[in-house]
Amino acid sequence: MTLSALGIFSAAGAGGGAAAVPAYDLLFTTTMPSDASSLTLSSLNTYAADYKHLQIRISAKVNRTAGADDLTVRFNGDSAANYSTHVLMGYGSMLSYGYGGGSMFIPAAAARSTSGWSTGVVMNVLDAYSTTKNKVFRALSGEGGGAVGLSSGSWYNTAAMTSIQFLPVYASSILAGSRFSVYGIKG
Amino acid sequence: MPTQTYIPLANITLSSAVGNVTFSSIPATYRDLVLVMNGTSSSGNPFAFLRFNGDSGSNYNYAFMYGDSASAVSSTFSSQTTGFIGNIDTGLRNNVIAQIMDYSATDRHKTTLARSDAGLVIATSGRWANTSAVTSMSVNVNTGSFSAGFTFALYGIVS
Repeated sequence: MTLSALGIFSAAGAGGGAAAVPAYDLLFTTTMPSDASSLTLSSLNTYAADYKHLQIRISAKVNRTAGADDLTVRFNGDSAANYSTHVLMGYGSMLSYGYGGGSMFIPAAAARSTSGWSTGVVMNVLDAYSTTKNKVFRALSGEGGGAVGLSSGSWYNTAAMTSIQFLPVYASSILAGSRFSVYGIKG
Repeated sequence: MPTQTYIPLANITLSSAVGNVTFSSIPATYRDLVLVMNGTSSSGNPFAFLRFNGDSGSNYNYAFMYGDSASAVSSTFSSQTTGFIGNIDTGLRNNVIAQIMDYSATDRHKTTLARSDAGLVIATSGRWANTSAVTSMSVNVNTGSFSAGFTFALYGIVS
């Protein structure tokens, strides 16, 4: 038996009752115009007054053919060893877990350059603008059909978020066309 | 200028048990879709799958990992006819949240990331090997059916 939902309504007709308050907004999207060794989402502090959490949605490829790549994550340009990451990852029949001291990364976050492969990341940065809490992200990521990962990262710093930088771990470049969308969540 | 998004596109509550739910006429207005499912199944602890644009070819690939009280497992499947997003344990209240990335893009394959929680905790990533924009999407179980009261909510996210 099949049930079909027809006539999906438009954005204009969507929404809850009169009391509903939109709480999830697109802030901006960066689609890389050319290959680059890293991608930085900057001026995030611009949104501090209106939002509590951030979500980053990524669809990226790198100049690597051997497999998916991880993306190193840096907050506020901090390149020192002030981070840690916990990871759970499935790759074929190999289920792995790990802890990385000194850095933050998202596993299987960028697809290989080979035609057809694609990837996705949904990353949440919690309490991004708090000045009393260390910053934490959590992410679900995967190269579609190749690998899947769950990760959480900590930055041992209470500074409010101003920027997030992504760098490939194994490849040298993130490829043109890679998409990084930033959303604000009110709280 | 921030843009309000996470727009509700469809909301379904099953009045009777069915094995397949289809969302049709999905507009290309958004970049990603989020499907939120909640409910139980009639029998057999089935798996839940997605199919796009009615494509029943061997164009779906997925990786998954799960853990339960006894073990943790990972596996990968390629050239499947549907994409796995989780399980629907019979007698338990199951929650599945699936992120369909770039569904409206025409320059890349479609990646699905999903989390499923009930008797098992599951994470999956899937790929539909097709660059066409997704205009319809069906959710089905491999055995039994989604029980009456099962809810499906579909959201659109702009980029």
